[in-house]
Amino acid sequence: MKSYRNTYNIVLAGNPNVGKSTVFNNLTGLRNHTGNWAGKTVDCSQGEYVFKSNRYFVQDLPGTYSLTPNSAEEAAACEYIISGSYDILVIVLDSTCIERNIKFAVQILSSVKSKCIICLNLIDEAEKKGITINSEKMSELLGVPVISTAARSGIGIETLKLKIEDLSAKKKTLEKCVKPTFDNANLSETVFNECCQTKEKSSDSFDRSIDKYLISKTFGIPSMLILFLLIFWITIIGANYPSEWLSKIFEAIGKKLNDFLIYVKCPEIISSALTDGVYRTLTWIIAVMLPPMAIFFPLFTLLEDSGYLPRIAFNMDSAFEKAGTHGKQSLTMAMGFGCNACGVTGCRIIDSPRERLIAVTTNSLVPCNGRFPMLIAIISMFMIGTNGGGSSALKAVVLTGAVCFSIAVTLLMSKILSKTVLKGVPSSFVLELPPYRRPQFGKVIIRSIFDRTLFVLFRAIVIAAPAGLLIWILANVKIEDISLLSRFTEILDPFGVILGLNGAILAGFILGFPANEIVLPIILMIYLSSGTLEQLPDLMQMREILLQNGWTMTTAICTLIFAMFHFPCSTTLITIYKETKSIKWTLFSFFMPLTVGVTVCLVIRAVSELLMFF
Amino acid sequence: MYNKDNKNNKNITLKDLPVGKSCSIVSVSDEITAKKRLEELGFEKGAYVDKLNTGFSGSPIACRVCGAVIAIRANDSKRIFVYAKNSD
Repeated sequence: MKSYRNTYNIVLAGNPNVGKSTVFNNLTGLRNHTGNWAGKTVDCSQGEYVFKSNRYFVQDLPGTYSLTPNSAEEAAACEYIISGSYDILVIVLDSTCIERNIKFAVQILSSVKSKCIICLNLIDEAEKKGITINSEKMSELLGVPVISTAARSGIGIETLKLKIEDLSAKKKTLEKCVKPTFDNANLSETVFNECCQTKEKSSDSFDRSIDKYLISKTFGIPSMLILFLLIFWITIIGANYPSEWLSKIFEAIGKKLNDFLIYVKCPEIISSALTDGVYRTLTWIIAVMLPPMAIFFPLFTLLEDSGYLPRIAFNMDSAFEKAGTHGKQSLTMAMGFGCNACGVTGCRIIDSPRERLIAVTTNSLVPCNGRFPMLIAIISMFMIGTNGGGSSALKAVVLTGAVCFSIAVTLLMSKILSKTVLKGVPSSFVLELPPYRRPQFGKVIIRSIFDRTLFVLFRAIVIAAPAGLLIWILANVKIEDISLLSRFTEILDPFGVILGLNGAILAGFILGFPANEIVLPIILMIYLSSGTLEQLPDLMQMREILLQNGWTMTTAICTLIFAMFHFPCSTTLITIYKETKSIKWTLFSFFMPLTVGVTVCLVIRAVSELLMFF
Repeated sequence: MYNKDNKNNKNITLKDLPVGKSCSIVSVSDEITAKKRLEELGFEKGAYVDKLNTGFSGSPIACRVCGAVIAIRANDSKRIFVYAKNSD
């Protein structure tokens, strides 16, 4: 056991998006997710570090704009700040918008009795924007230490640690010049006037010239669509190559594995279960499903880091306002593209309970990262370039169309909800548009590829391997010469056919409930369970297999629709229950997208039957 | 009527202020549910506001206030009364 001289509790507080999480990561060496938008951190996170043989526990609170809270999460953070049940409060301020942040600091200093340190973060950006702040003068006026930091590049963190150490050793509470009785408005004005200097010319001309295109009346929506197109295009193009390589590698390993099993005289039944069941499902998921996910996710994170996410919310707000919901729902919806479970948790940034429920229950109407590979595969096999080629740009167009359709359905369902069971008027909406920041490309790409890849690999092993085994068992256990799998799909078949699908597809969705990325591999497994296929099929061979099993254009479109609108995956559903604490709303979130999917599929099938008839 | 000072045409609502113009806030109506939040963000009497952009239907409205860019809905911005600055 290591012994420490003393243990202290440190709390980080500040406005949203001032970089608390970045300061936190720098202090503790942890790698919590950070983003360039207000409300990224919705949970308190804890960490610790050791400095000069003292141990420090650090707590990162969600951002608040003041000590008079507007939502339950803010209330918790405010209560904690006021309670004083910690040793040192670090007030993190955004130097680029110092006037407002000084007010916040003065408000906190006048309401807490604990020792405080002011951390002037983003000092590098402020300098670039022509804002200079005299931290010594500020320290003198406010009576607390003031440290300038640029947490993203680690500047000033050592000084901050030193100051924390220095202050925590002091027994007495620091003499603060800010008293509750003091005229706070006047004081913040004095501090601002005496310590801060801004250049005459507007300091954010660069951001504003970008905003002219990205959030303008005319260009806002088109530029957003182009950006989506670009991201999908890169995803589709980029995923091709690793898929090919991985398939080849896995094929080679598969052969070796087979040889090895024969060599060790493994019983035929076990070696078949391992290679045809477990190994095949696993490798398909990794080869076909993983690459698009591993490319889309970092691109999405780059958007988040650059500060574009709130601009999506800005562009789409009036549509959401018409649907009677909160503007920030478009933010949580955008998060849903990355992961629906994350989107559901993110709904905490919506203050009104009514609007939050709408956002939570409609989140899984947009396809998540795990569903994109399936959409891309279906589009490539049946819609664009069915002969094996096909322009990636066209595929991206179709995918963007599908995504726009899912957004339209989200708006429609939100509107229906807000007119019926969750009636009410939209509440006021205030959204901070952060300055653009150059994303830390290398860091983002490496981190999200590793985080995602490891996560998906883990899920593949935990879920897909047993699922592969289960399908193999079902396909090989026979009652009266008909396998259990055939019996299972036969039961589902009538329901599937009504929806323009078939039994195997429905079985795929049901067995894929724990993770959406295994749906398509399971469908293929079911089709292939009767015969054996030596190698991993590429997309065109897959298309042949599907055609042999009765797929038509209608089947493809209906499967595409059903992939976008069915029940949320188990992780999302558990998250919905955690967030709403209501079985009723969890069940609702399960059946609502399902109803949408069933309805749209019925319509598509009816239309296609009509077309055939004429 | 919202506009108390009709003699002076410069006294308008933030919603009616043309994009690219600046103003100072005269008053914020109590009807806005998020009034407190807006005040925390700097939408206070006397504050200097630049109207930067609007969404495709004229809402929301992006404003620079207190050094930050804040977006609010047109519905709220018509309840913020401002004094338009002369652009030179």
